[in-house]
Amino acid sequence: MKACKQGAISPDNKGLVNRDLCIGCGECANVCPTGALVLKGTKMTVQQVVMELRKDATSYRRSSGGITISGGEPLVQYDFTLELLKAAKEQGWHTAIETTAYADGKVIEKVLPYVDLALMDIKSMNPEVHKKFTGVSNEIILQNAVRVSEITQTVIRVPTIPGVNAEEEDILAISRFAKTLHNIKTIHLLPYHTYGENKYELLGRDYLMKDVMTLTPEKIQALKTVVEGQGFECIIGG
Amino acid sequence: MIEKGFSKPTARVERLKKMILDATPYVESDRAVLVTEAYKETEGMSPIMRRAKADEKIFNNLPVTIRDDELIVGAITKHPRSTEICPEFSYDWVEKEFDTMATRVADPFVIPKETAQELHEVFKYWPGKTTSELASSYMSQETKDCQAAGVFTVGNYFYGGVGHVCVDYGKVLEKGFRGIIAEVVDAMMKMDLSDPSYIKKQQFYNALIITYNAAINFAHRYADEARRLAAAETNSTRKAELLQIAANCDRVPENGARNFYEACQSFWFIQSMMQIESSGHSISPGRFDQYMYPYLAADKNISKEFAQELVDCIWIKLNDVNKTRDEVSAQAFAGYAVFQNIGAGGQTPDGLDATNEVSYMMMDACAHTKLPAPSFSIRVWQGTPDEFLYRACELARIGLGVPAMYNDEVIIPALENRGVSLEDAREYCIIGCVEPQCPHKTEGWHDAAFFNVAKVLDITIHGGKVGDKQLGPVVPDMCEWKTIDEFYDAFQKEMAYFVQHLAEADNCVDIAHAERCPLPFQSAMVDDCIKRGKSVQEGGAIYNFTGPQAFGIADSGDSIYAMNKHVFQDKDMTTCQLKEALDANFGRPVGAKANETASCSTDAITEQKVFEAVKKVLGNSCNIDMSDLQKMCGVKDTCTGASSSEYDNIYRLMDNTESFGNDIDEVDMVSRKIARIYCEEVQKYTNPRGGQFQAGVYPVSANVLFGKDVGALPDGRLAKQPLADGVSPRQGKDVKGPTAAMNSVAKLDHFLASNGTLLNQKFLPSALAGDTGLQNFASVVRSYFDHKGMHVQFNVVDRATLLAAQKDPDKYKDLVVRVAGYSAQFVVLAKEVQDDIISRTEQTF
Repeated sequence: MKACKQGAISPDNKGLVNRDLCIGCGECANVCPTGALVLKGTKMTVQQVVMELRKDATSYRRSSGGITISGGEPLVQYDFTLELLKAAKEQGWHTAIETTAYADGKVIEKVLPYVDLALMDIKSMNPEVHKKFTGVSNEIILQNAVRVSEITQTVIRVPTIPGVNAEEEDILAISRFAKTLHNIKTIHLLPYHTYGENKYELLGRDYLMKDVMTLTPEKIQALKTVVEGQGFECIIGG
Repeated sequence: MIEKGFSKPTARVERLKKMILDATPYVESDRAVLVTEAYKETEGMSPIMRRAKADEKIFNNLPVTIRDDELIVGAITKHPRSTEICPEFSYDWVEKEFDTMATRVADPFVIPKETAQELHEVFKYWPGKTTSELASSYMSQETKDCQAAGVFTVGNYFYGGVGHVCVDYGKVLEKGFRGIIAEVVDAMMKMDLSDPSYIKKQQFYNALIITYNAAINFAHRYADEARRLAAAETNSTRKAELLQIAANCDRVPENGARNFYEACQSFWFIQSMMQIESSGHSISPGRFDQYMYPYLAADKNISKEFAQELVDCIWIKLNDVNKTRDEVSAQAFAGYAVFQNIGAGGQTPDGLDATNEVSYMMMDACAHTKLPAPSFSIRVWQGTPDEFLYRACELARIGLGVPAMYNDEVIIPALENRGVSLEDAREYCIIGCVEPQCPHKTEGWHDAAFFNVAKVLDITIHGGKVGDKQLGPVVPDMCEWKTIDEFYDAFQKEMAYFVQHLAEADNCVDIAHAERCPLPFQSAMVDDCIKRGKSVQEGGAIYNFTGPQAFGIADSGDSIYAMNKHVFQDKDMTTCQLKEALDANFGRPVGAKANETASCSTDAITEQKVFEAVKKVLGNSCNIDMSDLQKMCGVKDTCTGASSSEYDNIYRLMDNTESFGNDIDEVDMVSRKIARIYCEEVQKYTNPRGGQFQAGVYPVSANVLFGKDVGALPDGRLAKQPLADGVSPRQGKDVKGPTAAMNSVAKLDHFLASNGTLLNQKFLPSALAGDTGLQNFASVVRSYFDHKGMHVQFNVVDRATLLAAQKDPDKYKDLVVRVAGYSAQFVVLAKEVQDDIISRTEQTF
């Protein structure tokens, strides 16, 4: 507590960090006797990232793999993402991106040409459901999906969440939409899991999905059958 | 589909396997009795002749044992998985452990009363006559002091035979023992009688003839026993099997083999008789697929299934061999291990791919038997077929810890750098744990010593002292160092001193073996002993080396990096403050593990203090002032007094410093430098056989044992805790994934460590699942080898299984894990070694 000059740590809050006051200086982590406080994340330039990625270059070559940019949403910081992708291409690496494609069409046009494989989320075909659970409409996403699939090899990913999109008709709708896109071969269904719950607690936030149950194996299999019925390869867990 | 799965073994193989797993290891006395009798009868003879007469008596009289269900015969002991004693090397530790060996923590053996009695009688002959006593008499007091302090130990070859050889199985398969005798007679005829060196040569040749005649008889005794059992056998199938066994033993190894079954039987006689002649372990069959394949290819009558069953039977037999060591060494070589290294793949002498059908059969044998032995390894080069590597990864995925994988592209140049010809280097096989050599031409002395680099660091920190004793050269105390260069100067001086004494210790043992225990049976099968007319021990081999191995590299590298950063660069503390923290074990009780926090005062109340407090109470007529009581017990008001929190800061800073294993050049290069210092010191020395010293970096399992000799280190490791194993990062410190760990290890210049390096990697089974998992696995191996790593081996078993096996060992008798360059039954390992394996970082992609 002494280390924090912002007064963000106090016994009133069980020693947890008050996020409104925290400036991320890391002094508390330096002195924590049990190592419970850890500072995550470092600021880096594109060049620094490339230097770090180069350490595994032999593995990319040997495994026919490459780099994958993920997030958050990498298209939010699209200028960094674009520069990183360009640098990766200069190295001759295969590039992949995990994205919701929730971005301005111009960003898609700029960034996707440097991507060899797009792993794109589609959560729901229903605009109201989409707005209710993500806070935004799915219009732009569905529009961009067309362009993404035209520019680069694309895999559709569906985080499959009970109460949101885990019924057969939801998955069927997404599969049918995928058929209208360009050359989609595979759809990943990512069943909801509770591994993220702990992170909320560490960040001092409420976990609003405490009551949501995970999907049964039978349910997952049924959804897989729906996808395969539309002519796609379906991988559970991606 | 890349993954193919493995077939099931036959019911017979399952039964033979059960016999091994259920066996209680015994110590038997037959060999010791026979060898002593022979020595008593040969007092006036030359050492080589005495050894030949000993071999003769043993081969002619050792009990013949054929076990139920066996197809391949030849047993060293009556009980399965048991051991004989070789008093000619050393014996006193056996005597000391008569009553304790059955219940000791590491590798227990039962010694029945009659056996103990017989051994006790036999041991009366040996004082003053063993190799160990002779070796000791050659050593200077300083050298003995270094060993006593735990800087290094030559215990392996000191207490027992040398072993660590791959003999010419191919020659015996082709020509038989008769062929060897013919070769010897031929050499005798060619002797130049005007050169007096012929006198000793003649002795040697006569010794070989006596030995090999007896060796032929040994197999014939098995033929006779098989016939005897057949006559009494009611089961017609078994009867026929026994008669076939008799026919085989009539024929081989006296003569060349005519088919695959005879080749297998001949092979096994060589392998077992080598381990009857001497207790030296790591008798390594080497490139089995190269010398056995021609017999399979030419055999038009044998079925694939039966041929596989024979190979499986050989694998079972390899587990029948056992060795007992003194209690301390048993911890360093934990798990009833005899390290018989058998390998597949690689290149031909012409540089073409050598993979064949037997290469794949060997992998199936491992999957069928799932036992700790043999130490199965594969060679990988640029031209290794993907199919072969994928199959090897599929085998590794089962979780036995085999195969270990070796990189031709590093090993061949490393051997050439040591004077081995290109063709000979291309033929390399692995001995024991990880030591490469050219087979049947080399006396490599590969397990020459364990050298504790972290201990030398500890000593350097204390100005050359261990406690109050000035063990190494006087160098400036840590408090006086102003720059990191002053540390390196001191360290270099200490290393030079200790390596010189290491070389001395090794050479004393070398001389003792040559003078007291030259081995005729072995020598006839190693080139150029017959040509030169002298034994392997006396320098008959073409290539001669001595290979002492270092461990504690990552601990030393990380410590020096951390010290340089926090003391000399960031100036977070002075050298004196750091030294004080080290000497105080960072304020923790000695023996505490890393995750235990500094003890609060409650532990500090000793019995004595309680006694005094009670006395005072009784003396004060039942009244006691609470604060008086607290003072007497040393209880403080708060948990952390001023001094221990100072150590906490230092501990945290040092422990949180970046470590080797995370692909950070700055950190890794320090470990590289330390390894090079060791390698370059070692290669200054030569041995009495005319060969050079060459360094290795691997611990077997000594990193746990010898960690106990080392105090707290600047990297945050607490006193007495295990050191890093081999070239691997410190347990739990490689946190950036498997490719980062491998990149770090690859930076250590394995080319110089031509006696072998050892990297352990642990993967979760889920990380390697499916075809994708196999492909990723194979590409990780190839990438590591692209980066010039020399060796890698894998433990694929999850933490939960290991913890469960600790709690419930009876349920997990068949769990086999990778220890160091070998696998062992997890449940027979001492708990500390088990804990060490569990603590090794689990990787996932």
